[in-house]
Amino acid sequence: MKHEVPPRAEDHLVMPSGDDFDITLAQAARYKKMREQKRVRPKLHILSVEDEPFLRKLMQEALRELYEIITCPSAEEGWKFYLEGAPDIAFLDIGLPDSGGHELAHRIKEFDPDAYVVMLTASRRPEDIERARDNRVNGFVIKPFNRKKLDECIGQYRVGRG
Amino acid sequence: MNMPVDLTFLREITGGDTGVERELFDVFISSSAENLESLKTNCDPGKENAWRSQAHAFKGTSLNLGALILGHLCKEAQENYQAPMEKKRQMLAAIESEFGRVKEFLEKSTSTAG
Repeated sequence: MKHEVPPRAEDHLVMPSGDDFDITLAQAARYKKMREQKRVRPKLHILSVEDEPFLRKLMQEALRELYEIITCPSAEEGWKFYLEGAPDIAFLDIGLPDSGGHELAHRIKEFDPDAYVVMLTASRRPEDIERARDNRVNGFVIKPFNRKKLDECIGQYRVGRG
Repeated sequence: MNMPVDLTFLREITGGDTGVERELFDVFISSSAENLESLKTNCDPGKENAWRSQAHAFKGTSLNLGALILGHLCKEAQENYQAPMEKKRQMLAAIESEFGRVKEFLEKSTSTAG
């Protein structure tokens, strides 16, 4: 009897293209290596892409004690940090000054379907929810956020990843 | 009159660390001053989208701080982004006045904390 072998996340690694999101082969290779190291990292690594300085600082304060947290203000930087750090969870604002959180979520999920992406936004617009769903993001959190909401997201990530 | 800021949720994050709170308040005050300036420069016809986006950003930070009245005023400004200039000036005056109260409250809390 032939058994189907489930594809590994690595098999889905694709090379996205686009002006703001181009990557080099070296970056892709480094990312792959970082992702392998995820299993042995002592702390969860979290990326927060948020253009408002106050909310960036608040995210940092909320998470820095228990997690490795990196924050940045734009989608382009978020993409760079994503590739460099292979974070376990990425919290993305939607209204970013450059290409926007949906575009970044799309790129991240296209690049690594196993990525864990949560939209963190004040928007309740149906079209934003629909786009997030189309991008297959893992969570959609409405601002204002508080510790409980963040803990719930991280808890869901842990449950999902066993 | 209602308190301009409810720090309950923020303090869950800061754990009452006054040094961290002071840093957060400083960032809030300076970025809000920029939001306010930007709203002022985007009152004119033809700048509706910039007005809406600034009001949206200001709303988000205000609500996350716990400045609920300010957040509500910004939400109103966001929703009425197509209002005539005179109405926008009125909304702006209300936001500016409430921001003054919030700022005073934050400055007082940090000076009391030493």
